Amino acid sequence: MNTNNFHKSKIINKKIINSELCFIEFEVENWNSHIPGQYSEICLTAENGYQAIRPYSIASEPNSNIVGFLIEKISNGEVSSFFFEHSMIGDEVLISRPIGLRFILKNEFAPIFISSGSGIAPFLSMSKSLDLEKKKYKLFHWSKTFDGLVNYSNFSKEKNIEYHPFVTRENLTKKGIGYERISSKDFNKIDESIKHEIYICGSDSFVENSSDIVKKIFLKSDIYTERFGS
Amino acid sequence: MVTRGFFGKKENNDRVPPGQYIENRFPVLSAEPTPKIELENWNLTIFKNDEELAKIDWKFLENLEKSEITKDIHCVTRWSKFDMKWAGVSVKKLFQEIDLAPPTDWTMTGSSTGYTTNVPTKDLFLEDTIISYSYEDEPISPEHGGPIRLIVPHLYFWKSAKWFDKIIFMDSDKGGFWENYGYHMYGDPWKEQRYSG
Repeated sequence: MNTNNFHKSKIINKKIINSELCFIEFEVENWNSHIPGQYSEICLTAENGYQAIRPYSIASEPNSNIVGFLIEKISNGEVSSFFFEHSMIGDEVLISRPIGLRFILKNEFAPIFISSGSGIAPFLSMSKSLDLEKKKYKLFHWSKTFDGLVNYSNFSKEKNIEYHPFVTRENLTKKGIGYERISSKDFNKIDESIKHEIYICGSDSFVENSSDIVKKIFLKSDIYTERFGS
Repeated sequence: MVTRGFFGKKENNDRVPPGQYIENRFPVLSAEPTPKIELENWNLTIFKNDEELAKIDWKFLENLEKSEITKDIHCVTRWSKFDMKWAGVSVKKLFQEIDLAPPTDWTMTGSSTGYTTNVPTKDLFLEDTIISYSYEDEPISPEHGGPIRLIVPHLYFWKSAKWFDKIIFMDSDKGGFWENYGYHMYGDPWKEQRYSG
């Protein structure tokens, strides 16, 4: 297995968000930054030499050798189960150089980010980059539960973000949170005559449904999609 | 570098190329919204550079001799799925039926969405390279590239253009969509040809 473009990395922070999501940060040797939206491959190596590699969106700010990933626990998932159940601060892995030049922040037109569940991951990186420039953007995030609204309190506070969180499987009475699944009315207040760059990330069914809705409204805008899983 | 606490499960299987894992699901990984294409409106156009050489429609394709292949498919994002059953018409058979000899050694295959990927002519004309209209005996779903997807099973799956509708014979090899974003020009999973450089 070719791991020539991989960097030695060590876990420096681990946060279990809920039963499905955890956030892990690595200190990565010789890391040369990344473009927001790119992903890396994380390689675990067993003592017998067996290796498992999986791709994950980079969820941290560029220009730092502290690189974070939002990891969703997959049933019988070899790598995600390790990170959830066994990993500890100090554990060492290999992380590839950043990959991908398609689903990256173009930053030419007004950005709109649309995500479900762990699909928020690339937007954690994109938003940090835009926050540094104080550039305005819109962020829509659907989660089954409130605790899955990753970075909720920061997104709620930042003045340059128009933040639209949704929780679909809990009954909450919290101001500013929607409860319905995505529909065209969620975009009613956005001027579709202005060209936007629209990024959609999440499960296959969510991306399929969302892009169907969005492409009918935003005829002048570019739409980029990234799907997790089947 | 050993990862403490990781023991893994050895994919003791010589059908798994280097760096891949066995996936039982069928992941969807597209960079663009899914188009909805009706079979009765589908055409495949064959060009040499800008010159149109031939055009066929669904009615013509469905009446050609059917090829069925059951192959392991390997995606550059590391998953491999075994024994995927596809049916369609082999590219080689199609060209025989329309009495057209391939005019160059290089092709760009393409989708109705504008997606492109280069495939050498010799690979396009292998017996197992088919223009597929069914997966597991059902019509190919739109998100998996239906109604018609090119299947090039011996290369990474990005070489199997979804929503397939064109073959352009070129005078020299050029990269298509993902190749221009840094993916390998050829894409052999057994040589781990994922990226260029």
